[in-house]
Amino acid sequence: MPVTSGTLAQPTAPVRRRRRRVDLPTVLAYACLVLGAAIMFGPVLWVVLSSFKGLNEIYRFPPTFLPEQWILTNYTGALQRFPFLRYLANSVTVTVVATLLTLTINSMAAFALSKYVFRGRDTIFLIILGTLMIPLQVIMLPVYLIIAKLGMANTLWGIIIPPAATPTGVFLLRQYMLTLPDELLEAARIDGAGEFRIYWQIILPLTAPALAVLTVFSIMWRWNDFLWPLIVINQDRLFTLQLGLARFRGELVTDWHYVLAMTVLSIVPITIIFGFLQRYLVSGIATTGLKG
Amino acid sequence: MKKVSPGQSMLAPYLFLAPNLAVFVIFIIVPAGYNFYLSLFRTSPFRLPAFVGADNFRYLLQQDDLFWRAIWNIGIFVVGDVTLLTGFSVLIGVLLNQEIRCRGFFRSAFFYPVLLSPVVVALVWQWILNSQFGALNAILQTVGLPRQPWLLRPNWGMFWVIFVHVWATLGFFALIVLAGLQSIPPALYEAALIDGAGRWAGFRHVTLPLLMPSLMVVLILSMIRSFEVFDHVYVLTGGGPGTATLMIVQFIYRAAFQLDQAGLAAAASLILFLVIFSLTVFQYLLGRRRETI
Repeated sequence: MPVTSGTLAQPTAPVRRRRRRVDLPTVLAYACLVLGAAIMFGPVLWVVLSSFKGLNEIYRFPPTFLPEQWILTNYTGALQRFPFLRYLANSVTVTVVATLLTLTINSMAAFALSKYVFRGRDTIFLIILGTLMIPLQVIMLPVYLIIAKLGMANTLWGIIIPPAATPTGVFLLRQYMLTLPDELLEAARIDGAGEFRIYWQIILPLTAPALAVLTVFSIMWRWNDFLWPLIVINQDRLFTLQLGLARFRGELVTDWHYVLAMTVLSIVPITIIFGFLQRYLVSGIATTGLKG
Repeated sequence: MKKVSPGQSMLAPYLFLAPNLAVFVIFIIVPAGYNFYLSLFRTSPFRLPAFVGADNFRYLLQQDDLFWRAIWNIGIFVVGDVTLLTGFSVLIGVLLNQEIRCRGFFRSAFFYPVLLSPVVVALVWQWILNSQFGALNAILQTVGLPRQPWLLRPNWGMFWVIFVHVWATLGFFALIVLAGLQSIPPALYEAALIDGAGRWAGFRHVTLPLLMPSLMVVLILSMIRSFEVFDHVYVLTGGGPGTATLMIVQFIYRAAFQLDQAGLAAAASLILFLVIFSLTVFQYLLGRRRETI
């Protein structure tokens, strides 16, 4: 049980500008970090290594660590036998369209709530924030019934639209837009710019940092989403990657070599995105406690 | 409060709000009311829905063993999950805040699982925990311990469900703690050091009190999220073995989409909502009190 060994370390207060010395707490701290990193990173590494092993090597006990021979047949076989590319296309469609939709409607709402004075503004803002307390898990049945009435059951739109109006997104963008000076709008109006043009050409570009944070989170939410697609979709051709992966597990418990290859393929995009956009994610969580 | 600026159109703000608000109303507000309505009816595949008042709640609380099983399971899950997450996020936050080598690498390593989808997390651990070919059993065997069918034993199943969920979300909470630690001014430690405080005393009397706001966020957020848990468990154990890891959301999912018990599902949803609602209000009140102090 690897967890318990982590508790050995003495928590140490960070003291800056102090001479670095090798003492017991420092050694323990490094030991904890290395062990922890191994536990956090090891399992994924293990799956990646396994996915390159031949059939007889995968099902050998005790297992080898590095593949004796690096082979790709698990990947080619999985791609041939399963509509992986279709699942991938569905996931990409859902993620891209849903993120664009979220960015558009959330930023429009945030613009109205931060740059206009109108009746009911504060009430509307409070209601939007209040819906944070109603996660999808609590209303999945009625939302599904509504989706079905609107003819969106078993469509990608059914996955995309209901979670698009995120309260966190509106909140994040509104707080950012509040910091932009109102004089910008007044100047633009004097120059004869229409309201939509002010939103589109002045406010949106200035909100880019907050939009970037929301983009990264929306991509992650949608790419990894499972429960909602599971409810909306029951046709194989509309499966997202997550649904496809989860179903392999049920049907093909013996086909681990394919499941491993699929799993690795599905985490490649998110890992690459993470490499580029890590700082937005980190700052998003650190400053707003956005759900990761 | 801002003045209405001279050229402002009266209609514009409502038009900008309309799309977002429409989605909100149709897919959150209306369903919330609809859910309450559904909870008052008994549905079955053979008959028309019949109004039964509070019968669904009465049935759940007084007769439904499976519901109580789910409540019991989620209770254990929440206690284990929240305790481990809070403890380890402090430990890792403090460690990552030290002046250490390869800090960027360690931060990424601890954060990486947060990116993975629950399905991937569950599949990865199924492969590790596989009773025949799993890496964990291989390690155990080399040190002379017996192999275990980890996910087929009720108690181990619950243990691993908690462990895997902690593994998958720890980076997120460690990051919140880390942000809290970095907002503590270093001058305070220097003052404590001058006063002769050791590392432990510094942690106990400087770090911990100033970290309390972040810790409360970790505590409440992790609690809300563990009450809502579904994906990880559903793929890892499917609620099994038997019903040993069946959580409340899976109970609702099962009643709503597999058993055609809309009324019971809606009633159970409402109970879950009350729990989440009280936790959120609690969090809000705590936040308010902090501001006034």
